[in-house]
Amino acid sequence: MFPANRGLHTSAKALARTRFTKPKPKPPKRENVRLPTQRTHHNNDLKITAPIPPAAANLSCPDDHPLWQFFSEKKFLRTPEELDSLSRSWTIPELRRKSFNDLHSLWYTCLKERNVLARENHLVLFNFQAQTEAYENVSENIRTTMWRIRHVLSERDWAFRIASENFAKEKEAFISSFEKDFLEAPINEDEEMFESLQRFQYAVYGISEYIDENKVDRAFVDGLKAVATLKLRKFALRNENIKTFLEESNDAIVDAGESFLLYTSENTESAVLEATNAVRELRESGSSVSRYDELETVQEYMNKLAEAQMAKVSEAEIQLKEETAKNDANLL
Amino acid sequence: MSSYKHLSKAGARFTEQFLSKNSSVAKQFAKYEGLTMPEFLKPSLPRVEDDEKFKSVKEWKYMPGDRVVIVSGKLKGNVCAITQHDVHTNGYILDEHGPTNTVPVPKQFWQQGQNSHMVSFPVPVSQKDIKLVADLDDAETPGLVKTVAVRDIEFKGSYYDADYKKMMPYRVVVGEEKMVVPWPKPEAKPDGALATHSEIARQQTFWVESAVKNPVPQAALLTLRNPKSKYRRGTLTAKEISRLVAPKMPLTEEKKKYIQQRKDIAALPKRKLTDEDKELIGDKVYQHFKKSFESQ
Repeated sequence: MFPANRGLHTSAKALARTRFTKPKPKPPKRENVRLPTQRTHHNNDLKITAPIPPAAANLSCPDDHPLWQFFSEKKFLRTPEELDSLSRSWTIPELRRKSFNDLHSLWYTCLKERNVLARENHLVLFNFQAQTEAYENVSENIRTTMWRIRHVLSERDWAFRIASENFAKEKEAFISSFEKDFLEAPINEDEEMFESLQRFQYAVYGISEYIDENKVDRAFVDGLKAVATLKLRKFALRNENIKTFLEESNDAIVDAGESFLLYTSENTESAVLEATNAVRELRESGSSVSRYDELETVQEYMNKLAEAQMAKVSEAEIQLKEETAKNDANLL
Repeated sequence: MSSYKHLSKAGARFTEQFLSKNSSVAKQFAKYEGLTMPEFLKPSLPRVEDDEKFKSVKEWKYMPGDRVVIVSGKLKGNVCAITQHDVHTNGYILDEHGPTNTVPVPKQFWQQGQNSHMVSFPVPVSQKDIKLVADLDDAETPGLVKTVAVRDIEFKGSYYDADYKKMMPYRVVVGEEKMVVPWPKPEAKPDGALATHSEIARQQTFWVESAVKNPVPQAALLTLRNPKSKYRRGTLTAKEISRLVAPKMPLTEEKKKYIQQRKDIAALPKRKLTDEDKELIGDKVYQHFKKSFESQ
């Protein structure tokens, strides 16, 4: 036998004591113990109640739920007799009379109705295995209206393109004939003439009377200059000061800033005279708009104009409210 | 059965051709339909194809409410009123004086209040089996009308009919332009839920206002038409050309041999007339003429 004091080189490590031979002392009691995060609905809190039977009355759906748009008057399914099989599609001549907004909303009305019909058709076909002809016929009629809307809009676009190409040839003659009529009209027809000027500027230069509809581009700025010049020429026939101002500016306004000022002035002799004085001041101070910055500058002016108008509108609203409140108080 | 054919028209043309009247499938179906269909479901007139279905009043000739006389069959001579058009068979369904078919109906198809298996169904009648009955002014006794069966009718001109709410042709006795047979008054029905009031429909809201501003917004144009459409492109792609051009017929062995032969012949060096050859020919000709002159 080998004596027990002999061993391998790993034996000492293997035999070394690594664990406590007697139990570890208890840790000291903690003072700040965090409470459990969930303190309700533990197993011992739950109570058994009577089961809720699955019934339609237990389900509620808000009236404005977006999926209601796939139902006709919140009906699960319309019978073929309830469908509108008598009405016909819109014809192309009828649609030609309608504006883009009308056609746009008609398109979406049609689309919604076709969605309803498609859902019902699917239901009838797969869940009831019944005839779907009635649903399909109505849907087909609506589809006809829809392709006709697209046809009419496409046709309108082509007509516009061809017409604007042809108009480019006649533009000069048209403008000069309008100018002649506009300048020769007597003073008592002023209101009508300025109304026709508004239509003219929209037709030829695309300047709308509604500020937010306008898009500032080259045609727009050229239009501003032309309209400002025309306005000056109209009042130059009546007022010597305006006439001399027009002569000073070589019978045409070429600066975008000046034209904007004249364009936005009211259509009266005194207002235009005031505007000419303002333009004179501008010229004396040497401020002018470079041709390269015209579009950006005019856009800025337009934004300012829109803001001013909005402020005016809100001010008027506040005043109206105050007045009504006052009136109410008086009545009480 | 689960497909989405009812939602989309994709592949509809194939289905249409597959089930069209002259396809073998349709013929086979028609053959067994008569044998397997129960009596109460059998149509008495053959169904018509979609493109043969009557669509206009000119095709129908007689409208619901018209009185007609039956001119053939068991009930020949009966005067009946048309109650309804049968759009699937181009037939007319007549009132109780018209032909009916009494057939047994299984209990699961019984209507409420039914107490017998045997039910009479009105049978649709085709256009050639009826003639229109009209009240016309009697030429012999003025002021009186006589009821006649009209041999045939034709259409002259048109007018707006407020009852039908559309343009209707005048229906006249054939060859007698002045004998107008008015259309029957249709049953008054309220406007459908989808209908638009005529005043609103007619109201004009689009006016041409500007030569510079497009009445259609730029963003809408892409949804109106496809700018890259193959019909607008004006050129054909290689794929389209390959579809349009018939493939080349493969050559037969004989044809190939013949072409090779022609090629070989063409590849041979061209022979040239040398002076020697020319002299030889000249000599031959000279000998020939000499011989012929000598014999004379």
